[in-house]
Amino acid sequence: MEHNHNEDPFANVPRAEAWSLVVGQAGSIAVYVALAFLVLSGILYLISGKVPKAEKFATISFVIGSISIFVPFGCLLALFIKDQFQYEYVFSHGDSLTELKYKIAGVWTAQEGSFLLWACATSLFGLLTIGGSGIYRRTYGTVFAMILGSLCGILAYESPFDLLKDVVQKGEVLMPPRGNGMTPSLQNYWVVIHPPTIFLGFGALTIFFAYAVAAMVHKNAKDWITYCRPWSLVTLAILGLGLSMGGLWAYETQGWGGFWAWDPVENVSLVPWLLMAALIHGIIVQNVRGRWAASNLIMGGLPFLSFVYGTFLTRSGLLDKVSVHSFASMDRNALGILRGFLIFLVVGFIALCVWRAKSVANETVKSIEPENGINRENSYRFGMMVLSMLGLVIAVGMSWPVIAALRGGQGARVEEWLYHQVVVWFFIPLMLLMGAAPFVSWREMGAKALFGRIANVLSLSIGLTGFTFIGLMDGPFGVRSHAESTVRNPMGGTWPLIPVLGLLMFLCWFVAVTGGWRAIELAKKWKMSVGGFVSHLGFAVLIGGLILSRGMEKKQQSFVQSGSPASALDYVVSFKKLEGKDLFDRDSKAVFEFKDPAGRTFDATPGLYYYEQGEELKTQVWPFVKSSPTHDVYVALFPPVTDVWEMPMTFKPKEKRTVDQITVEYLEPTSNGTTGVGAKFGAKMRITTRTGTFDVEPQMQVTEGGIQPLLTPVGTEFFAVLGRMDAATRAVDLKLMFQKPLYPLEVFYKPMTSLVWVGTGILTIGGLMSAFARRRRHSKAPAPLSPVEV
Amino acid sequence: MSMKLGPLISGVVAATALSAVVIAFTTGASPYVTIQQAKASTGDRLHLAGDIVKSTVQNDVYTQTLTFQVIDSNGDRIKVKHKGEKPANLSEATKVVAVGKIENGEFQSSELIVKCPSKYEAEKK
Repeated sequence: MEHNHNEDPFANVPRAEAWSLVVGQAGSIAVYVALAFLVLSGILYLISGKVPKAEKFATISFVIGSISIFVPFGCLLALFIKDQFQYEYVFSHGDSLTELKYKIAGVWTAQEGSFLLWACATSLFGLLTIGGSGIYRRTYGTVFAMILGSLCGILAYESPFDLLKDVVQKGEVLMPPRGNGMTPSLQNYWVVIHPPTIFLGFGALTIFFAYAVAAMVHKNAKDWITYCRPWSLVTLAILGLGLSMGGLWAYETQGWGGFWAWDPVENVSLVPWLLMAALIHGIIVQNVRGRWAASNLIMGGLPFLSFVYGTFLTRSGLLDKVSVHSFASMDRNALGILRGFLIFLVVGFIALCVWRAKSVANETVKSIEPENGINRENSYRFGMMVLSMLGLVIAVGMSWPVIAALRGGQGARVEEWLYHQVVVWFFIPLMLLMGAAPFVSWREMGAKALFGRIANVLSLSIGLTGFTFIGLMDGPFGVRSHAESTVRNPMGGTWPLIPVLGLLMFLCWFVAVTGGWRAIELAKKWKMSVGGFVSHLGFAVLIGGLILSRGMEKKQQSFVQSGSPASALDYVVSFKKLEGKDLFDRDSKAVFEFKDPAGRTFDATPGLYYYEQGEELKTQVWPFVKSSPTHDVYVALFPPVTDVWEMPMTFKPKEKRTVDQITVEYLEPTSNGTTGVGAKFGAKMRITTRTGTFDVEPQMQVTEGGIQPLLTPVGTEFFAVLGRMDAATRAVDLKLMFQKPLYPLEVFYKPMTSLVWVGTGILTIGGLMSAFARRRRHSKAPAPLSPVEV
Repeated sequence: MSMKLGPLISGVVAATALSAVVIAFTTGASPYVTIQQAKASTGDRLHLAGDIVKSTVQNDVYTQTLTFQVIDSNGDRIKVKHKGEKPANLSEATKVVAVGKIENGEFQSSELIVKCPSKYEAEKK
């Protein structure tokens, strides 16, 4: 076929529709519009101290700016839903064939989109809180506008609205028919719900930072506590839910059988949660006793700062070696803004605290004289300290690769076992406090009186710990089977596992029983604070589930082939079939039968499908979880193995060689027919495997479509396949394949994982209950100077 | 008890705890090492990063042992022996972090972390 050189090579490629280009432009421009209004609003808020009239315009400007941040989000969403692959971001993460939910989630699957999500969540909370910021509005608005403005600055460089490099041809914009699609390993319902939830929590952190700054600037350390109390409870609940969802997501899809890996990205979200929990208890003390006003001002800023620090750490590429979450390296200008933003916030906040925190607190908050000895305030102090220290320790742990690298060498990494070893020393006092403090009164009480109040709870907890272990005593995975198991101890040796687990279980029961006990007591009196104790109960249940399911975990690897069952843990596992429309169907499953010693069976159906990436065929696998109230059987499938050797091996005539316990002797080359279509070339070989010695002659045939190898059976186990034959030396590339693919499985027994789900639910419900109880009644709230409709 | 005692105890406890943690991290964190450093070390969770020498990759399916050579940033070579689960994406990986220890001049790996050049994570600008 002749090609006319003047003919447009892209004649048949569809053009992008005009609306899509307008939408992309609108999205880009809206970022700048938002930035302009936010800067304006910040300036107007600043001068409103001198010119009171300016405040009204500042607020209007703030609202317009904040709403504008949703425009790029909406535009990007529209481009994803309408498959506009001329945009690089949509092309990289969207696909026309994918389900709607993944098109929506495409918006936040990568770096640019997650910054956009952060900005939107922050502006949502800006809009929700600016109206109620009352006497602090001037500074609160300035700080909020500045933070949102910085996020807009980052978005201006990290824009998801860039066109693909080559789509603009002769002034026209071409539209690729399909995109790359979301990374298959992300395609799961959790990608739709987890990121918006956790980013909602991150966005809310700005509230407390902005209030703490405003409280110091306005020299009023009193009212901000009332303003942010309900928000602090909502934030903690949302963050907790987001964290749990992240863990459950990892568990259900990653195939390593756990919820939490102490990955830097996980830690970045855990640290603000811990600091928020500390802040909430500080707020209680200030409310009841009028004390700790200064430390609350400091604590107010820390959750947000820790999140910004963590974001910088994980997005800057400093941790590339250690995180499973890999990010594209950030745009240099955007990273520069993030770094400057972080330094400015940290330095500014520290300076403000040093200058004002103590004096403002002393001047504005009337404190009640502290009680001595054992009392609620002291218990809270230790609790807050433990929580903050835990946050600090985790932040140091996630920064360790950088810290160690600064000390010379290539750096070092804090692994799971080391986190566990360190964290447990904070966990023990934390749980003891959570178990005892709810019974401690605000007035001084003696140790004897305290013991009198918690004696019942203590004995109940010890009893329940005993029952737990008796319940889990027998069976193939019970306590008895762990008689030999150990954990590393800080002295470099090991401790037996069961007593350690016993102590941890007692602590969980202690907190759970206290939480439940106090919740029931208060519920009878219709007290509002019941939600807090419900949260404590949920936390204990969740942690108990995490500890038991990891601590008493058993796992075993196994390889199953069709017709050759294998054993894994106590099961006999046999391959049954592949299920699904075809190998490329996302819902395809590999079906395995699990039979226990009693002869009971169930089918495990881990997901298995293939997809093309460029020229390559790739495998996607999903674990299968068989849940029951007492334990999960977790079946992780790995990509089926078809090739015996990692790569084809080259043999010269007369050569005899053993590779991976298989001996191959290349006796002589053969040929059948002359050159041209139909001719066959082969190699006579003697192959010795574990099952015997076989004389075979694998061949290649010349066909219309090129040279095709023929599959030649070697006994009943393998196929021999010729890859290439050198015309001069007659050397051949030989590939050995399994006749039946080998399915590598890893089977886990995870006791009591059901508690993780139940605990997450109770924790979230408790948090929302307490937030609802502490919501601001409008009659009591100080009237805003200019009410804002949002 | 004086009224300042609470905060004082808190401060001392906090400082002690933090120092203990820093010591624990300093001694316990798993170091990234070069081959030279690995040979001089007795640690069992050494992180050895390097390039996989593709032509040396062998996989024994019967014993599930994977062996290959790795070249580190200094250009040194060592044989890595990995027992256990093979990472799914090893075939397209070029860089690897092997976690383990030196035994008989070989690097016995218990965990392989592979880094893949992926088009999903294209370099920007």
